[in-house]
Order: sequence, then structure tokens, then C-alpha cells
Amino acid sequence: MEKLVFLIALLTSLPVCAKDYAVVVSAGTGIGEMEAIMIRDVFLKKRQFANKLRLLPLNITGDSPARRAFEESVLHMNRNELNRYWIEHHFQGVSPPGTQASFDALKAVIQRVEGSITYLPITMVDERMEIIHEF
Amino acid sequence: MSFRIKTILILTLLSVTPYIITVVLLGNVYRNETRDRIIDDMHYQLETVANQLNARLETLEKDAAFMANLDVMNDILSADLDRRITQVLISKKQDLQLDGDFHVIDEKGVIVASSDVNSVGGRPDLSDTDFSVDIVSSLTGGAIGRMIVDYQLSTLEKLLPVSEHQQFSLVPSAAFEGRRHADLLVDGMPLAARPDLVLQLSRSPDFAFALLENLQKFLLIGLFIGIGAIAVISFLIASYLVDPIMKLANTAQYVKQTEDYSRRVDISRSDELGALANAFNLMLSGMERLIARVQEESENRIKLAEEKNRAEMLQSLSTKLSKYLSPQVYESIFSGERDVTLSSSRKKLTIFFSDIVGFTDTTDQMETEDLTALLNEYLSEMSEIALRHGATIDKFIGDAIMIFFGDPKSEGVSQDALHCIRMAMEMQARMSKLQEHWRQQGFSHPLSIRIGINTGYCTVGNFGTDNRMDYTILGSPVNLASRIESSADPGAIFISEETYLLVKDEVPCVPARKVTPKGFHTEIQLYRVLERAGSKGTVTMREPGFQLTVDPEELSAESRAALRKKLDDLLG
Repeated sequence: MEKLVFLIALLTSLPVCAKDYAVVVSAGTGIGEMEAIMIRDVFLKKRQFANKLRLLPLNITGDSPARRAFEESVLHMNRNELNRYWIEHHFQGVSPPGTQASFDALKAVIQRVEGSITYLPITMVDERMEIIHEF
Repeated sequence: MSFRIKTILILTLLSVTPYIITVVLLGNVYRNETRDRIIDDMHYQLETVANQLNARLETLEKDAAFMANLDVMNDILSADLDRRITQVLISKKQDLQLDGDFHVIDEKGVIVASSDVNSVGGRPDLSDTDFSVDIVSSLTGGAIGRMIVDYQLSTLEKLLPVSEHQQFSLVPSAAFEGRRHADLLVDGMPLAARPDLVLQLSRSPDFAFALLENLQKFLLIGLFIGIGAIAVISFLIASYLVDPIMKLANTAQYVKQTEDYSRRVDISRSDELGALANAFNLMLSGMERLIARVQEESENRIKLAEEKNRAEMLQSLSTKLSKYLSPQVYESIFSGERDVTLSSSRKKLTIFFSDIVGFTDTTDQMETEDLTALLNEYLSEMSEIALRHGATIDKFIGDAIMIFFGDPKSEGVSQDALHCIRMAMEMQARMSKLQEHWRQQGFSHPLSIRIGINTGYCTVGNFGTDNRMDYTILGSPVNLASRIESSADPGAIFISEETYLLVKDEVPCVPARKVTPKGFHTEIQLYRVLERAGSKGTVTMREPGFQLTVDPEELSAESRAALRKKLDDLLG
């Protein structure tokens, strides 16, 4: 069901909206582009490595538009679903991705921590990070 | 020192000594216990405070460890751009009231977050006392930094109790002076969480020794109170003992001074002192009675002596007076038979008169001393004979003797007359011997007497006045007896017929002469008594110029011959 919703959203959104956010990683990781589904797995802690690099997904704290957009477009899950997801996985010893309070902070983490992956407004992306997905 | 003072001192000393010993021993024991208690108290306080400080440090460490494990520490990765770590640190600092700061440093040692925002970006000035905790990222799983607790000593010092008398302080271990047991002023305990620090407890000497000083004061006060109480009690006990003794002493002194043996000591007790007081009183009673008895006996003796003296005097007087009274009168007066009052009675008496023949002539030829001696001897001899025969010597009239029989005692008229005659005969016989005696003494004219006796009713009694009376007889028979005496021959005994009739059966008599005595109107026959003295056969003759008494029965042949020869020689 989720996949269906995701697909519909993808098909309907692609030809209409512009890409405001980008999923970025530290520059020089060599990951390249990553499919959304892989990104989704990373942020759902289903995938932890890419290109033999341990990945560190990071969210922005709170209910920012970027996060909503990311959850909708990439994770294809609403907040309740995510909460439920993480509650279930908490008992499995899987904790949700870390958070930062601001994009600047996220940006700083990306720049300092190799393997960190997060999403930023495209306008904040610079040469010290690499876009692996846009949404 | 008085017994009271001695008793007080002894009792006080005996009572106080064990008290002082006990107090000293207990004081020492209590002092040592107090010292130990003080030390234990200090140690306990140190331990308590040290535990608090250690707990504080442990809390800090735990808090630091807790904060280090917070997910927000992942912001180290972002250099705490959002200052979320900073806020946590600041909040925690405020919560813990930490004097100091929390620092979060990254792997490079740069402070990325701090409760002191000014220190961000710098490097912490770590000391050995600061402790830090590794921050392990929950994202990366690896250490991404360290949580440093940079606290000041004041953080701990704020926990130290504040007291007026003691002071807790944190001093470096090297600077710790060490416990001084002696003065109980300082003690210390190292902190487990900070081995470089020693929690030091300093006490002011006043506070440290307050207990001991209070103890000493208490003991001193107690000691003085005890001594005072003991002294008071000792005084009371001494008074209880001494007062009765002093009463006894004072009473004895009083009795000695005043000789008032009626005094008694007032001690009413049932103990030994009461027994002593009773015995003392009994002794005084005994002495009082004894003295009274002695006084009484003394008075009695004095009285007796006085009475004896009086009696002796009276006896002497009476003896002297008796010489002026006939023994019978004297005896009747002193026996109370006869009262000394003017009274008389009429009785038939035999009256005797005698006198010395030619006394006047004889006395003219004699010296006064010789006459006195001779007369006294004569009267004494005659008086003795008279008394022996129971005569009442009425009086001595110079050389004359007046005697009567029949009063105050009488054996009957006849016997009275007979006694008188026998008395007269003995007198004459005695005169014979006295004459020889006087002759041998050189009197050339020995005395001879003549005797006249009459019997008749006379008035006999006390005559005179109440103040001056004479016991005598009155009446014509008295006069007649005197006349008969005057008519008698020297050496003879002449009696009246009345007397003769009474004695003729017992006494040989011969008629002498008839005379008409002066004052009488009738002639009376006088009789001469033939004198027989000694044995029944003795014959006595007296004539002028000789006197002869012969007892033929006693005369031996040689005496007869000698007598005959003597008479022949005398008579030629």
C-alpha cells in the first residue's frame, strides 16, 4: 500500500514540482546518486552502508517542511507511520536517525562526519557536500 | 582545737576524700570518654561531610556521564551550532548550582559547547581535579568528544557546614596539619573522590573543650556543694555530739563554782550520751543527797557537840552546883522528880548537926592554908560518909554540918534515924583516924566533933524566892537538933529521946543528961550513943584528952599486951 502511494506521488509530482531539497552526503564519499529507495532504507536504518561506507542518516529536528517533504517524498511515510515504525524498531534495538536543530548544523555534520547523510535545501549545498538525491 | 572543729574537719575530710577520689576518677574517666567522644564526634562529622562531598562529586560525575550519553551530544558533530548542548550544559549547571562549568570538547579537544559560552572554541584548562567523561555518539557509535566538569572548590565548599565553633575546610593533602589528639582541635579526612584534598575540621579550643570545661565546672560546683553540704552535715553531727557534752561540762563547771548540786543537765536522748547524762544526773543526785546527809550529820554532830558541850557544861555546872546541894536533892531535881519551885511539905525527918569543937580557937592558931586544907579534908570525909548513908546534906555552916534524913528519899522514919545514927558513928570513927592523921601531919591540936541528932516533923522544901531559893528544912526539931549538938560532948553523939526510941533496939545508947535547950520550955532527956564501928564488938570511947577504939575480937594477944603497956606508960 505504501509503495502504491509512493509511486502515485512520484508520478504525479515529478512532472509538476521543482526540487527544493537535496539529500546530501559528505564530499568525497564516492556514493554518487542514490536511489530514493536506498535513501529510504538508510533513513529507516535498513541500510547502513553504502560504498563500504557506514552511513549516518540525520534528520532535522521538529516538523520542518523539509522533513515533511523528505518523509513524504523519500520515505513515503507520514509522521504517525514513522513513529509507529520507530517504536517497533526501538525494541529491536534500532534507534531513529539523529537529528540536528538546523540546516546549518546538519551541514556542519555533513562536512565533519564522513558517511553522514541528510537533506538540506538545495540552496545550502556547497562543494563540501555531495548531492545524492533531490526531492 | 575544739572537739566540734575536729569532728567537723574529720567528718568533712572522711566524707570529701572518697568523693574527691571518685570525682577525680570519674572526672578522668569522663574526661577520657569525653575526649574520645569528641574525637569520634569530629570523625563522624568529617565522615558525614566527606560522604556528602564525595556524593556530590559522584553526582557530578554521574550527571556528566548522563549528559554525555544524551543524544544531544551528537551535536558535537555539528559543533553545537544550534547550541543545544550548550543549553543543556547551562541548564545543568544551574540545576546543580555548580561553581564551575561543563565543557564538551570534540575529538580535537576544542570546546564545542560549554556552560561558559565564552570558552567555546577554546581549549579547556584541565587540571588533575577535573574529571571528564567520554562522549560516545549514538549515531556513530564512537567517541566524538568528552564531557568535562570543570568545578571549583567552592562547589564543594558550599556543602560544608557552617558552625560558630568549628570550621570545615578543604585543604590540600600536603597542607593538612594532621590530627592533633592532644588538643582535639584539628582532624581531617581525605576525600575519596578527591585524594588531593583533605576535609579538615577545625574546632575552636573553647568549643573543643567546652564539654570538658563544663564537666570541670560541674564537678567543681558539685565538689563545693558537696563540701558545703558535708560541712553542714558534719557541723550538725558534731553539734549533735558536742552539745550534750558541753552541757555536761557546763553543768559540772556550774556545780563546781556554785556548789549547787540541785542542778541537772537537760539531755533527753536514748543513746549513749543520754545514758551518760542520766548517770551524771544520778551522780549529782547522789552527791546532793550525800552532801545533805553529810551536812545533816555535820549539823547533828555540831549539835551533838554543842549539846555535849552544853551537857558537859551543864554537867559541870550541875556538878559544881551539886556540891552546893545534897546528892538526893540534886538527883531529884535533875531527874525531874522534884520541881524547882517554891514548895514545901511536912515530913518526919531525922536531923543531924555537927561541928568542930573549939573550931575558932583552933583556927586562930593555924595558918589559913592549913586550916583550909584541914577543913576541906574534914568536910570531904564527912560528906562522903553522909552521902554513903544516903543523907541529905543541907548545908555547911563553917565547920558545922547540917544533915537530915527522910527527904527527898526515905526508907521510913526508923530506918532514916538508924542511918543517921550509923552515919554519925562512922563519922566519929573517921574522926579518930583523921586525928591520928592530922597529928602525924603536925597538928598539935587535932579536931574533934560533936554530934546532935533529933527526929521530928519538919517542913521541908524550897524556901526563898523564885529567883533565889534554898532547899532546906524548918521547924523546931531542927532547932532542937542544933541545941542537942551544942550540948554534946566532943567526940560524942547525942540524940533526942524521939530518936532514941527509934533506934534503941539497934544502937546501944545510954542516957546522957537532961537539958532545957534555949528556945524550949521543957527539959529534954538526951541520950548518948555508944559508938561501935567496924565489927560488932568494936568499942570506941572519946573523952577529953583521949579517944579509944578497941575491937576485942580482933585484938591479938600481942596487941593486947602492947595496948596495956601503952596505957600504962601514958597513964603512969
